[in-house]
Amino acid sequence: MRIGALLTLVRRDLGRTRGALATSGFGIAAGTATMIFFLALGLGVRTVVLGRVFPIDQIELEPPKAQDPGLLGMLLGGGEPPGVDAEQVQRLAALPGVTGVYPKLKLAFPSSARGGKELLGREVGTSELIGDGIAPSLLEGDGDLKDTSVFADPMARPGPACVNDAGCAVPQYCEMTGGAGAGAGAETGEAGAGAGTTTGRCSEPVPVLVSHYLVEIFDKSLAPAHNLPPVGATMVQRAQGVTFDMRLGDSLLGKARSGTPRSVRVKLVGVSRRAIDLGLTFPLEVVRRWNAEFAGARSATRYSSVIVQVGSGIDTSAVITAGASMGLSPRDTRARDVSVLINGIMALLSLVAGVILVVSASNIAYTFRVLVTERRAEIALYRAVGATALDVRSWMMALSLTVGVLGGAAGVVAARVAAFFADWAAAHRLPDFPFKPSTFFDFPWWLALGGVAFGAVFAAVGAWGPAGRAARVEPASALAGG
Amino acid sequence: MPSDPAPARAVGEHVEARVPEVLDAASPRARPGRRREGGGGEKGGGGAAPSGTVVRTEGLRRSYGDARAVRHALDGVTLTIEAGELVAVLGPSGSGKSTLLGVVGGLDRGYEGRVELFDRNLAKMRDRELSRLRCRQIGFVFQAFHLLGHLSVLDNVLAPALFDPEWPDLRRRAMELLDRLGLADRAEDAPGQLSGGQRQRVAIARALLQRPALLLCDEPTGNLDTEMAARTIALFSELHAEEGLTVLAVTHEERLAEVATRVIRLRDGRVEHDGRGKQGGRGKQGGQGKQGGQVEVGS
Ligand SMILES: Nc1ncnc2c1ncn2[C@@H]1O[C@H](COP(=O)(O)OP(=O)(O)O)[C@@H](O)[C@H]1O
Ligand SMILES: [Mg+2]
Repeated sequence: MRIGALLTLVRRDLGRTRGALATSGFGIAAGTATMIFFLALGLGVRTVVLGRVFPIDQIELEPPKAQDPGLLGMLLGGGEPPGVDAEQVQRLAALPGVTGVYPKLKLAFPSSARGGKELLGREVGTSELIGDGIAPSLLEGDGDLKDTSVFADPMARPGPACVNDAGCAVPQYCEMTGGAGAGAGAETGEAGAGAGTTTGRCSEPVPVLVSHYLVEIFDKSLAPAHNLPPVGATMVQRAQGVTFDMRLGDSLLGKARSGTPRSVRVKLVGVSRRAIDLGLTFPLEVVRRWNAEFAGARSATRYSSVIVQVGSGIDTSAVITAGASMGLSPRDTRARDVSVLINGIMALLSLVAGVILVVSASNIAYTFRVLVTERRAEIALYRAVGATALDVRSWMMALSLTVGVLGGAAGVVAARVAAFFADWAAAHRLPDFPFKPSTFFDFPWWLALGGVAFGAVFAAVGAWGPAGRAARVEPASALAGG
Repeated sequence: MPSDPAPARAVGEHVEARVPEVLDAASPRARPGRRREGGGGEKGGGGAAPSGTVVRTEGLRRSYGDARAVRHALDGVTLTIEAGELVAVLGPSGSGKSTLLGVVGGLDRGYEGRVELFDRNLAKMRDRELSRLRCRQIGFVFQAFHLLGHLSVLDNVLAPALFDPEWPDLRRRAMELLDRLGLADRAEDAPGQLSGGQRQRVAIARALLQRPALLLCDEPTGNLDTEMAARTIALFSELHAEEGLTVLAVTHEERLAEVATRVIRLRDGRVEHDGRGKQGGRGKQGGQGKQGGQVEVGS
């Protein structure tokens, strides 16, 4: 039987059996729509949560937080402070699947900050500032910062010598360089000499990054509570040059162990997924210098953690295992937890959709069983005038596939329409919350294709049995029936 | 009223002149091949006798029911039908006539014994081959017509072409057949709008579409009034006479026997009589039944 002849049969059926086929197709459409809707929702939420909130393609490894020094450690006076040394960083970088290793250094001394008038209309301050330093190369390829070169240690190109900020042209400030290193800084601190006796170099404000998370928390929680205007992430990007004054070595909670507290000027240069969640992120070299000055040489050479970038999520477990052998553990498993959670929810909802599809497949089966029974004489006649059993089976299967494809396509369209309204409702009815996306759905092309294919497959599965029955119709007895 | 010729006029007269044009080259002898090209094939006019065996059965038995209550619808039927015969199979209701037709037409393969169609053992043919044979070599006319209500008259006539592996465009052929059978202006109508006689002729047109070598008719006059039945019988007679089309018609209508070259009487699944019909000539004598000359004997 020619394809054209087969299509002729199917076309005639779509006309005359419209009602029953539409009912079957509706079931398929409903199942496909449910499935596609939930899958797209899962994909969309995953994009937001894992793409923007908790990136899954990186793991941050750190030493145990509260390391018990043990009896021996106490006797020997402390032992090694926790940290990741350069050799461990090298070993992690050599692991298969690792595309990049980026050490992080936390601010190891108390500090505070004040500023933000340009952005918020009035000065705000924090009595306690958390911060870390990252290698500027970590930002490359993220796309968060248009020009990553603005995130660099300004002392790489120091200005003229100075004794205080008055000696530098605004917005530069006088960055104290003290002696040759941390030791010199410590000595100066112990000496308790006035700032005027130390020397420095004029420096551009130190660039800092904040996280999307911080911006969201500020906009959705802090700003309303303190009657401040919200700042969008894009606004922060645009308002580059917002400067803060930062007090190093001194905060509400106490003073640094070494060094003389002093003020520096920092400048907000952007919002980055690499930035610390709540705090400021500086170029690594800056933190290294400041840690040496205020917390001693050790805290300048041992990293507080290391970010390991992996090619795919599959490699993360290998990295976690390797890290464990060095006494390092993942700092944040939220990404994995959330991804497991989302996958679980997606699987559950897809199961619901699957049940609907199974029901619609049995609906198809029922419809086609009735169809075949009703058409026994017609099938027998076709057999009498030359149809093979395979022709009859092909006819029924082609009909069901057509219903499945049309139903699946309708389901995909319905899912998109439903998603549109869900997004609209979320935009208009839901209160603003951190990371509220403009769309909760992601419809990749393969999802639409998969929806249509799913509809076709379930319709075909449903029609398989009845099509076989149709092929086995005994022409002689069916025609004798009158 | 071309759709329904005046009753006073015999159908035979009406159609006679056009037969050769329509049924050209419908020679049953060119059995295995296709003669769709037309023209080149031999014209079967004027009773030119085709030759060859069309149907042969040997000890044909068809049983229904299970082992406890087995019932033989056909119980040892042996007969041979040669090309060009017009065979009337008579017998009371339940004697196995329809069953015989189903087996011989390759619609019912649940038989025992041996059946040959065009010299090929039916049991050894695969569904594809047998279906192709039904498509191209055999035409069926059923008592209930079995027209498809959702299709136009023309599409009903064209139904066999759908299942031909070549899906030939036979619209012209179909229109010629409808024209010949006086239904040209009903081609686009639904079968439901036609009278019983008209439907019967649509079914006949459908059976003839592929220029079959063998026409199998089950009670072709069963649903017709006397007048229409007479005309249908006349039509079969013409088709047979002019084309040498082999016809196997099952009926309890004695009038069909009058135009048949051979009459077979079935009773309880057995051949009770097999003999020359009134048109005599080519009737094959013998077999199980008594010799000819008993055609008029009622059953
Ligand atoms: N599909 C069937 N199942 C059971 N019995 C059948 C079937 N078809 C025919 N028969 C029986 O076979 C016998 C012959 O039937 P049939 O060939 O239709 O007779 P006819 O056409 O001569 O009236 C009948 O007794 C009938 O009941
Ligand atoms: Mg019968």
